[in-house]
Amino acid sequence: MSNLLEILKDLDWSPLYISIKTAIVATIISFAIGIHLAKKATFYGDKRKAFVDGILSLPIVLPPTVAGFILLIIFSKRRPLGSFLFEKFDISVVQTWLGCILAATIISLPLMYQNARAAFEQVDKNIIYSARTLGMSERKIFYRVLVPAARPGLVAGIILCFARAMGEYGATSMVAGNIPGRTGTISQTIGMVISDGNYLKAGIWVVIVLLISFVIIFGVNIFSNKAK
Amino acid sequence: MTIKVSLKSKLDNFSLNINFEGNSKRIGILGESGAGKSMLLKYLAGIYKPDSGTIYLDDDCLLDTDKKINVRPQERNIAYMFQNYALFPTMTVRNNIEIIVKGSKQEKKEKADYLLKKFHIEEIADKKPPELSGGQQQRVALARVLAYEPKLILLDEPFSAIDQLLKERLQIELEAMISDYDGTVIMVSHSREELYKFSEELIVISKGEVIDSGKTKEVFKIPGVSRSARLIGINNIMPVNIEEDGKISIPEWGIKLDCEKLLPKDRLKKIKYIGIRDEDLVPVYGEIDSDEHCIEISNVNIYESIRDRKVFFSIKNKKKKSSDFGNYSFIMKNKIDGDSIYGAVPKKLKIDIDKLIFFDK
Repeated sequence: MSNLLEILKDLDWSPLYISIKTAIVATIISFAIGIHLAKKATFYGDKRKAFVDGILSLPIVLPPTVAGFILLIIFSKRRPLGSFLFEKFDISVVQTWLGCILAATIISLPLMYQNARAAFEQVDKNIIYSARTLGMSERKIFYRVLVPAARPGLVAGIILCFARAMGEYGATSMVAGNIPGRTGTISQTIGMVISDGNYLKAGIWVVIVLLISFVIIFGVNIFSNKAK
Repeated sequence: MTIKVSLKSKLDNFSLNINFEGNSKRIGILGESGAGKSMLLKYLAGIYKPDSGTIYLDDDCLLDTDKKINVRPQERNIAYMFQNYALFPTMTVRNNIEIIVKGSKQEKKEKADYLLKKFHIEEIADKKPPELSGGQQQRVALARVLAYEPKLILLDEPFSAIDQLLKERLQIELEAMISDYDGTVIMVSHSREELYKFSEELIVISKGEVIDSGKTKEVFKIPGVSRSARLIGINNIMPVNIEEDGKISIPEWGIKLDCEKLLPKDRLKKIKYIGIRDEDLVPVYGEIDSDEHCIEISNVNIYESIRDRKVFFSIKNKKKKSSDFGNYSFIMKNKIDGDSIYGAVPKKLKIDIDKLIFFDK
């Protein structure tokens, strides 16, 4: 017991903050991109739909390490894009918090996109059509009609997206690494302390993750009940 | 306002090929389900684009595929009222109207107040569409359409979501509510009753083509072609031959009619079909002096309703066709006689030849 308290007293909480910060930013980016892609796919008969759909569904079926590998190849400073970003804009992705965000976004975006698409598809198309014939601009239709009508599904998407971003491990460890205080997320910390044999410390983080997950699932249930 | 339409488009099951010109303020489009009526409205509103064609409102070109003109729905000034009314589900009734009104906040509010009052929907102003009845939704949808002040309103089967009992009342209401609307209204329906009451001008569509058009009352009285006659409710339509003695023979019924007095000779020669309304076949009971213009019926099936019975029949002595359901029909008014409200089904019918309808095609 005293052992536990001691560990808690000395615990570096940075993984929690880094994970939450990363998940929030990744969720915001995924939301902004996801709903617009979903809108295009559902309501605007875009011919690129199948292509976009395929690309966006890939991260769901691929191991995250594959996504990590691809990101590493693209953004490594030894590669054209990576070195261009670094030299021209002083932006580096690999081994930085930016890498955490990028990895989490790539992995969580499909969840947002899929949920948003399902939510938009449930909205009666006639509502959109009638809004058009009543002179409403596409922008106004999107923000005032479509998004509110799809709200329950979108909220569920946000929560799942956040949860996925929070738990991201594979791609993050490859792109951002596990630098304590900078890129060390909870998932990576658990992996690290277990490999050090510190099961008690790993257990503390596991409990924290369980608590967060429970709150998230609880939230999803509340919203999906509301949607009914 | 004149609306001029010429459209061609290939759909899943058939090709749409529609040409018409309408000048009235209330235009009806009649056609069976799947005739392409809703599609036509969607082309007019700009929701979909046909393969080729033109749409003109007076001199405004809304669509000309040759000239690559296709005005966006937002700029056509044509409001579409959908079958299910398509109200914005997350907004209150008031917001559904206000969001359409152009102008300042104050102007939006004033216009909404005016329309809420006019359509007697003030009490439900703060409710959301899913809480409303079909009739209330229809009023809100109409108020919303009028809030936009369009040049042309398209009504797509406006009564299909309404209870049978309320339909007639709502039809009268709808006409009253748009009576002071100065623009043109096009209403699409498969119900001849709805359009008979509503429209000044009628366009009859079948399988993607206009088969008849004209002033509504005239189309109903004397449909131009046999195909549209069926749509406006004339069930007995037969091909005919003109005999050398000037009589009209109906091979399907094995009967000859003496119609020389009814038609000039040159018109008589062109007749291809004849139509008889259900109510113009008069039941014959007992013995009569002459069998002229009488038919014997068999294979009777009765469709009962409260006020009358529609009797489907075949002609006696004619070989039955594959379907054993009679192809022709007449109406019997129900007579209340003691406990029984039914008169016997007659064996013979007499054709009221003064009321025949003649078709050249």
